[in-house]
This record gives sequence, C-alpha cells and structure tokens, in this order.
Amino acid sequence: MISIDKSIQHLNDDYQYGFKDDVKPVFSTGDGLTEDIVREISAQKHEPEWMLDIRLNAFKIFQKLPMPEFGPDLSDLDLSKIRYFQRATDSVSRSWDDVPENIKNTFEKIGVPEAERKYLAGAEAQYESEAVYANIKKEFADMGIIFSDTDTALKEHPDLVKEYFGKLVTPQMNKFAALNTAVWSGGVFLYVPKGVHAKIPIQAFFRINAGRTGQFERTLIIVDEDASVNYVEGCTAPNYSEDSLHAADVEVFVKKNAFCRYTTIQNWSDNVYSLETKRASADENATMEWVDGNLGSKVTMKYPSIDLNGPYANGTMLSIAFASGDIYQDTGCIMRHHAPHTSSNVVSKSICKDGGTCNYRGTIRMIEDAHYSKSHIECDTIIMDDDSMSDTIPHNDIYNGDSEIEHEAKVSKISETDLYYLMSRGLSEAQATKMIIMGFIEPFSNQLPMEYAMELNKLIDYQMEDSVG
Amino acid sequence: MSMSVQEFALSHNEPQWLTVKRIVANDMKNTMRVPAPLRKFHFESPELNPRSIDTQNLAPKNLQDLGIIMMDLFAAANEFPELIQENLMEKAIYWRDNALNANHLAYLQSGGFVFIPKDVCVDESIDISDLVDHNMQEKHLLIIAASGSEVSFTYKDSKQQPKNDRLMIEVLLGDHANVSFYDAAMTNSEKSHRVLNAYLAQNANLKTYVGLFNHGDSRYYSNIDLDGMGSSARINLVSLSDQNQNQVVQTKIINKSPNTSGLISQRGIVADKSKTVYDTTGQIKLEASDSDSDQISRLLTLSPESKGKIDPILLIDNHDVVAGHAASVGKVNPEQLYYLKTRGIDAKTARFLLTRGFLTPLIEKFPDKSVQEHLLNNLEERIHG
Repeated sequence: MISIDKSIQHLNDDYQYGFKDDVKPVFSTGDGLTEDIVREISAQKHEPEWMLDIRLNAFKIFQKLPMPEFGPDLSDLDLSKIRYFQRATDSVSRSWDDVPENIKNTFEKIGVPEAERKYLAGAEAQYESEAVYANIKKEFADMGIIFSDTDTALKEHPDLVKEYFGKLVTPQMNKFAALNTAVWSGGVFLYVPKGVHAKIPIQAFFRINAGRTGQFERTLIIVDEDASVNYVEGCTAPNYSEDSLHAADVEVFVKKNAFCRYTTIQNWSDNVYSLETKRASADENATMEWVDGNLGSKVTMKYPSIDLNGPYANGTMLSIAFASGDIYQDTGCIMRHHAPHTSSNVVSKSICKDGGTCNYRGTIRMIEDAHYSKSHIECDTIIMDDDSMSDTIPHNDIYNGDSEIEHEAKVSKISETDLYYLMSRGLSEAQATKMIIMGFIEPFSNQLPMEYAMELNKLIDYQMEDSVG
Repeated sequence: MSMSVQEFALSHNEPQWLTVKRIVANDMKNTMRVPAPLRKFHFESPELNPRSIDTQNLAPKNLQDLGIIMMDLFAAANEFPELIQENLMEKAIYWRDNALNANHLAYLQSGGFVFIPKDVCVDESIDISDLVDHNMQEKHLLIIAASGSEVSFTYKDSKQQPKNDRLMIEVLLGDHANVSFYDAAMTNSEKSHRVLNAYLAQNANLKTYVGLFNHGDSRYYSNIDLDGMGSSARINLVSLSDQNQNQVVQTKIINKSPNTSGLISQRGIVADKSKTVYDTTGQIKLEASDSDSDQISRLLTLSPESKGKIDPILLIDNHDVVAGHAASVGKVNPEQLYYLKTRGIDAKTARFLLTRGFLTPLIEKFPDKSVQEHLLNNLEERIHG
C-alpha cells in the first residue's frame, strides 16, 4: 500500500498544478457537439436572440472549415469526445465567502486570493466554462471600469457587447475561432472608459479541472480614447489521461491615444490542446502590447495579431515559448500595418529540450497605404539537446516602397564559452545552464508583474531540473 | 512543322534509353502535380524542330589537353551513356518531382554536358554559355566535377531569347571538388525560369554568384544538397526588377551531414511598380551536427509603389548548430542621400550611386570583365535612365 501511495504522490509531483478537485458539474451538455447543443448552451444562459444567431452561424462555418493544414499534428484531437459546456456552480459568486469550498481549495492552491488581497485590482477566476468568482476593487468600479465575466456583461451591458463582439475575431478566421464563437462561455469583459488609467494590473485566472473538457472563454477588452490598462491572465489545468481542448478567442480594441498591455502566462498540463485566436486593433496613436508566455500544453497554436489601423499606432509582441518532452509550441505573431507611420516590434524567445518542438510562424504585412511604417523582428531559439527541433517561418511583406522591415533570427545551443566561464567561477553545469536560460528570457520576464515573474522563474526552474547542457 | 517527342529524338540520333525516358516522362506528366508557385512557369510545350548536333568536344584546346569534356548533351548521351543515364535529372533535379520537370525532360531541346576529370585545376573561368542554344525554350546543363577538381564557370544569357525561357542547371561535385559558378541572367523573355540544383559529396565546396537582371517576369530557384560531410555552399545573388516586373527568388540549402556549412546572401533592388520575393530556406537535418546555416537578405525599394517580400525560413532538427537569418526591406538611406546632395550631386545621380554601391561588391566578383560591365550598364540604363 505504501508503495502505491508513494507512486500516486510521485504522479502528483510531476506537474506542479496537477492536483485535481472532485467537483461534479451542476450542468453538462455531455460529449460531442450538435446544433441542439449550441441552442441548449444559449438557452441555459438566457441569451438574447442575436447572440444565438451568431452562435448558429459560427457553428455552420465551423462544420465547413478544414482543420489547420500547417504546423502540429492535430489528428489525435477528437472533437466529438469533448464536453462543450459544463457549469461548476449555479451562480457566479461575487464575494469570496460564497464560493464553494472545494473550488476555493483549487484557487487557494494556485494563489488567486492572496494575489487579490495583495495588490491586484480585481481577480476573476474561470473554472471550466464560467467564471465562479469575479470582483473588482471599488475604486475602479467608481471610475467606470467594467470588469466582469462575458456572460454577465452580456446581461448587464448588451449594447456594448453587441457593438464589439466578433468584430475582430470572425468565425471565418479559422476552425477554432468558429468553434469558440459557437459554444463560447465565460471569459473576461473589460471596458475602460475615456481618459481612465487603471494603474494596477487587472488579473484573471483560468483553469480546466475535468478531463475531456473544452474551455472556450471569450474575452473582450475595450480601451476607450486616452485610457490605459494592464491586463494579466494565467492558465492551468490538472493532469488527465484524456485530452482537453482550450480554444479561446480574445478581442482587444484600443482606441485613439489609448494603451493596452495584455499579459498571458499559459501553463496548461501536457494533455491540453491550446488553439487560440487573439486579435487586437490599434487606432490612431494607440499602443497595443501582447506579452505572451507559453510554458505548457500538449500542442499550442497561437498567433496573436494586431491591426494597426490608425496613423502612428504601435504594436508590440513579446513572447517566450518553452517546450520540453512532447510539447509542441507553434507560436508567432501577425502585424498588419494598415495606416501610415505605424510601427511594430516583435521579440520572440524559444527554448526547447528533451524532444520538444518550438516553431516561430509570423507575418508582418504593410499594405500600399501604410507609408513610412517600420517593423523590427527578433527571434532567438536555444535548442538544448539532439531530440529537440525548431523551425522559424517568418513572412515579411511590404507593399509600398517607403516602409522598412528588419528581421533577425538565431538558432543555437547554449554557448560553450558562457558555460565554461560560469563553471570556472564555481557554478555547477546545471546552475550555469539555468543562469544562461534565465538571462536569455530576461527581456520577457522583466516585463511581467512581480509575482508572475516569480512564478515564471519557478516554472522554468522546475522545467530545467535534471537538464544539463 | 512540329514533330512529336519520338520523331525529334530520332532526328538527332539520341540513344534509345533517353528516348524511352522522354516518352515515359511525356506520358506521366499529366498525372503529376504542378505546385502552385510554379503554375505561371508551366509553359506550353515548345515546337520541336530538327537540329543538327555537333558531336565534337567543344572545349578549347588547352582544356581538352587536361581531359575536360564540353559537349552537346545529346552527343554526350551516346558517348558517355553511363554518366548521363545515372545523373541526368536523377540526382540534383529529379524529373518526377513535378509536371514541370517531366515536361522539361520530355521536350528538352538543347543541352550541354561538362565533365571535369579528377584533380584537374583550371585558373581562368570556363565560359559555358555557348553549350546551349539560347533560342530554345527548354535548355539544360549537366556539370560533373570529379573529386579534387577546382574550376569556375561563367554562364551568360544572350540578348535574343524565346518568349518563354527555361534553363535547368545540375551541378554534381565529387569529394573535395571546388566549384564556382557565375551566372548572369539577362534575358528579354516575357517569362524566364532558371533552376540551379547541386549535390555535394564530402568536403566539396560550391559557390554560386548570380546576377538576376532579367527584363520579364522571372523565377530563380536553387536547391543545394550538402550531402557529404564537411561540404559547404555559398549562394550570392543580386537582383534588379523594374517597371511591372515580378520576380521570385527561391533558394534553399539543406545540411544533411555533420560539419556542413551553408550561407545564402542576397541583395535586390526593387524599382518602379515591380515586386520581388525572396523565399529563403536553411534546413539542418538531425544528422548534421556541428553545422551552420546563415542567411542575409536585403531589399532596397526605390519607389513608393515597389513591393518587397522576404520569407527567411529556418528548419532546424539538430541542437549542435549555429543558424540565423537577417532580413531587411527598406528605402535608400536619406542621410546618405542628403550627404551626396550637399556635395553637389543631383538627387537622381545620388540615388543611382547608392543603389550601385549596394550591388557592386558582388558584381565585381564576376571574373569576366565584359560580364561585369554588361551588368553595370544594365543597372545604369534601368535606374539612372
């Protein structure tokens, strides 16, 4: 018996967030997806008619579109075995005390309440499909910032949701964007009114608990003119033998002179397919920044994009990808320069080890009218051993003669000179390797809020264990 | 009067194995794919007319003395059947790859064969331009440099060209062979398709220098296999496009063995309403440890309407490597332009001097002075006007 206990203990040790709570969903649509299920989801949520129409239209497109034909192999992903909607609790709780005890345990483990108590503006946690806990500090509410889950926003601010929903991420973009639009549930709705600056980061946390679950959160962020916001989200899931699917859609509208930074740390366990569609638009003189960390999951396909629609708009993408074991990270970014004097900056850092695959797949496009635009792209990859692979597949298109693109990429192993130097100072090979990796991703980690930076360090630490040069 | 493939083959007395291969290729081409990017260059099959074949060794006397063979491809097919049968469109360019290749083999009109024997070194560059008939649509060159040889070749287009022009070049390098290939592409054809594929054995070294100055829509494709340990390849290319020209340059070096090294360096000028695409791939296979792969691609756009596109791709399966790419698309540096103007040079001339400076370092490497001049004159005509 003792040995069995030990092996269970060992299994749990494998993945830091690999604990699993025994939460029976209150409502579930069962396996697979049909039009009836789409109707059922909409009815369960008492949605307005127009939203049901959007869902049904997206479902039709979803059935027509083919699976992506590039990058990772998705043939093991059985879309008919995914549970498309389940609700863990009957109502969305406003106060922490009302959240059911076992769900609370999960969040205690991943540290949401502490985070909230400390200095975060508001924390929202999405458990399976819908938000169970959403709150925002009173002062922000007084400023007019709306921060809730998207379902609640649809009830309370239907006009705002209707105006922006699906305007950037359309179902035609790809199969999973269509799937999300058909069955979306939960996610974050954030509206920052004109001239309002949210000085402290606003945070959300997503977690898949049951196996074979699909999590389809729909996030909608609108930053009105002259406003600014810094939004942070984290994602985890426990270990399961069956595969789970996470197909989120995120839309961010950054209006004239506004600023938005969207930070994600994705740490799904190694049975999650993370196939996300993220798109932002930046109007005149606005700045949009994606800060994107991909550490876990089985397969990630994520190409956040920014449409630079107004003159002098600026887009930034800062990302790291870490692939170890069977992880396949296919990430990158798309910058569409649609107006003159726009600029974009892309920094992508990838590390792969123990057979992991890290690909960068990006597009920079400057159309005829985007005169005097500039773009700078940097992709660096460290391949740590013989089993790992990395491809860099960028596309740089300039359709006018006044713009500039600079692109640089480098793929290499850990520098032997650096390693030798550090070891000559008395560090072990493992310590030296870790230090070099930390230095490599520093441009990314020093952009994170402190506790996220610490979590990232812990995660990298954990991934780097037993790995020597 | 046009002839069938079979009649054409009989007319110049080519060996039976080649005729059979051509007929098979002609039959099979309809079952093969035409990859999307090649569709524009899937020309109609040319009219076949009888040609007289020179069966002599066409190499200059001093090279003949070294054992060098330069011959018409069809004559060589009779003379050296085993060499040609094994290598013609089998190794560096594979005829079954797509319908375009199969059609090229079936309707091959003119070809040249060059063989450099073991350990032969030639100092001056060998001009192989006249081995093929420039008036023909489907042209082919097969070059074999045996182990230890050291040579350089120059190929330049003549002014008269067919409406559609295709030249496929295969270069096979033996162990320790060292080959430089200078290619001045300057056709007036409406569409021009140039392919240079190479296959390198151990420690072989290939450098190609390409000046892509065609007037019509053109596509340059090069695929170099670093198959032998320690082999290395450099592709150096400069291109110029103007008016409504559409230009695609697709280059690829594959590191298949340890200690191999590949470098692709490309510079292009895009003027007027033209468009240039650089599609560059460096691939390092799992077996190729201790290798490097590097790319530098730069495009200079001269007009607000010029379009440039660079796709620098790296496919890396081995960790013990150094791979990188740098790419940029941009206009003429305004500070340099301003400096030249303060020295009393008018804007147009200043711009021309800067673009000329952008391409000259490579053009000056061409060993044949007349080719250098020709390229520079072409540049001046088209940019300075």
